[in-house]
Amino acid sequence: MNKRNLLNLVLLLVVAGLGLLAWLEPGRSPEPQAVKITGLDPAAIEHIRIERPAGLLEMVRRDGRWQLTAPQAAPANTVRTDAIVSVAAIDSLNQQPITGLDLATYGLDEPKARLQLNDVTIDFGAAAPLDNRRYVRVGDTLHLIPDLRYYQLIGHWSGYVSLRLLEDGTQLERIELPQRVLVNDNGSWVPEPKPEQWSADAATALAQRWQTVQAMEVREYKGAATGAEVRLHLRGQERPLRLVIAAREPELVLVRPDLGLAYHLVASQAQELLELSAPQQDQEP
Amino acid sequence: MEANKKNRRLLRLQGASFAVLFLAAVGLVAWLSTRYHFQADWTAAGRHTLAPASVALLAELQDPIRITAFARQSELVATRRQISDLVGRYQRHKPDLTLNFVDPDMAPDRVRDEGISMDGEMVVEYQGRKLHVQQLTEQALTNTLHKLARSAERKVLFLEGHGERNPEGGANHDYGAFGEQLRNKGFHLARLNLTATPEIPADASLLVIASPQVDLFPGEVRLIQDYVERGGNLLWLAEPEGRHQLDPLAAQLGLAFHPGTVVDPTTQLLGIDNAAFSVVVEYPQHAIVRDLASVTLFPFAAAIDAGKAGETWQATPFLRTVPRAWAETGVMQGAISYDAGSDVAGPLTLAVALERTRPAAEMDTQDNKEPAADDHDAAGPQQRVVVIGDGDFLANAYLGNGANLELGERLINWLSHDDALMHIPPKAAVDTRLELSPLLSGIIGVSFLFLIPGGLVIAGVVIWLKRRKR
Repeated sequence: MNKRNLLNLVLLLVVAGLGLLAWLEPGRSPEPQAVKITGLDPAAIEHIRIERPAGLLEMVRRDGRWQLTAPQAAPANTVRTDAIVSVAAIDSLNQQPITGLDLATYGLDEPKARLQLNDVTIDFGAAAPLDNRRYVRVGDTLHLIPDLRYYQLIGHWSGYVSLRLLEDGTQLERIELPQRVLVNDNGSWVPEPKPEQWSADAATALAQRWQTVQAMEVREYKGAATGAEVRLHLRGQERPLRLVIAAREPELVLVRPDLGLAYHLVASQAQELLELSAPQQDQEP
Repeated sequence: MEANKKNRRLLRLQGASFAVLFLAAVGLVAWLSTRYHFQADWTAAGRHTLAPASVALLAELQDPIRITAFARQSELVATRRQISDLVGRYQRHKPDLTLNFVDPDMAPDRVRDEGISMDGEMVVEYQGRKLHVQQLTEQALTNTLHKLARSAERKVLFLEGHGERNPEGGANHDYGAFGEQLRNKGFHLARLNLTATPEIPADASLLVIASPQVDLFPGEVRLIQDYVERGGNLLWLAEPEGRHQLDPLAAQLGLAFHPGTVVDPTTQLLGIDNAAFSVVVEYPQHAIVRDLASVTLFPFAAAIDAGKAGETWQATPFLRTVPRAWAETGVMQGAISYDAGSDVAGPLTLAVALERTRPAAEMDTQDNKEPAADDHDAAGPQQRVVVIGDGDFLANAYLGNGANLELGERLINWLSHDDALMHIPPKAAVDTRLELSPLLSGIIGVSFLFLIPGGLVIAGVVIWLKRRKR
């Protein structure tokens, strides 16, 4: 065997040895994998139940959309529900079997909140003393997760209601404003009674704004709302959706008496939603 | 070997195999270096082992040391390994130094009880005293051990018998809360009545005169003067109402007090509706107040004139009011304004730190009798005195304002020489400097830039030409 072959053979043995070392990694414990607190796939969650001091909150997913069912039936806020279901797949920051642990130490003897995702229950206990973490119990394991998750569960129920006045897919047929009615005439919106000057674009834009309008905030509204009304007639529904204009300043407040909810919008939206804008000079009716 | 086609192919194959195997070996070594860690100190000065100062300190500590590290168990963080590495270096020199880990997530009550504020914090216990370490460095741990070793010697005496503030009292004007903090830091507090015991004990690290309300007897003043003359450390917290026969002490220190109470309009900006509160917002580069982050608040303070202190002491005024403050000599009621004739204009000095080499004669006497507490001090035998024109800032009622508590602790630490922490210098490798003459630099530069590359090019061309001729 010549020198070159010998050198290559030695090198081959070295590479084989190093390869074995890299493959088998003797003396090293396996790298711990991040542990999820549940085995649930957030996309497969159909039912949320939250028991907390502010009262029971329940949501179900119907046809891909979340609906608040308790304490009040209403479309649910997608951002909030996504945050809640994502708890199922959150990485555990630290974990320990609860065997032998005093649950009272971690505030889990009487949980501060209980989240149920499908049939998995997550108990929320006390805040950990370091680094804004919170103790949660899932089955027989104690986990630590970011404290923010707890605060996403304990807000007022109205905060879980969708900010949209009309959900995607609903179709408006008739809009009754305090001073005007807009009718969907085979896709074209026509004001009734017709003003002397009006623009089809402005009517369509007004209807479009109602279709997509979103509140800054939704609050519970107790008592009887009084004031002018907006009635939104939706395709496939006998009764119109009633909105009472409870205030225009400093915010536009539209109250849904059937849900007991007040939608707070920017004051400037009052004109955009309640008035049909005058046509531009170069536009013809 | 005959350079036929077959041989050339074989040579190319061998060359390619070598290149592939060599690169594979380098790649594997690089990969393994991310998976395995190996440490060994091969440096000439032993740069990565325990410093001699730490080893010497460990030799002095006779009793067992217990370290409890509050570090999470998760393998994803390397804190526990770092702690083990650091403490392991100490354990090699002191086998009875024990290290226990506590997962702070799993022991929340203990974390709260111990006042742990971060993952990786260590609690070091020695002779029943505890201190926390948050930095995982040899300097931090050694200094903590140094403090624990010394703290038994730190005896702070509070003068009593003249209405002084009580370090155990719960009244608004007392120092109960401050005293509690000092005891937690390992200081031994005691009260001294010079009428009952006409002697200041030699083992005192510091004497505190905290705002006497009635006059001291001349004999008591003489005892205090003798104590200062002999080299004793002193903290004197005075008030605007008068010195209560301590003027000779002020004269001995080269100090005088301006008449009146310091008035500071700045406090109104902070929402304090009393002009007799002064705030100090900036601090000089003195060991007591260096890097003090927050303001300190001084209710009803007197201003100090340190004009003559520099004759015998190294005097540093370290607390000064803003320039628009003044010392009001009039009645502190109604609308108060500066009167150019009688009031003293700011900025005013509220506190002076005095330092000097401890009188040599007394040092010798002490050394012959029994070693003084500060003899262990690495900073040298310096005598330290602080005079402040206010005692309220450390009282229970005001201790929580701004950085008052921190200032108080720093004062006591400095006066009892607890700031003289061990400095563990970074170990330098020997012979790390290479000094070249301009000629040598030029030769090296020309060689590396031109001669060696040129030589390689020429050698390559020659070999190529030779092979081509075959």
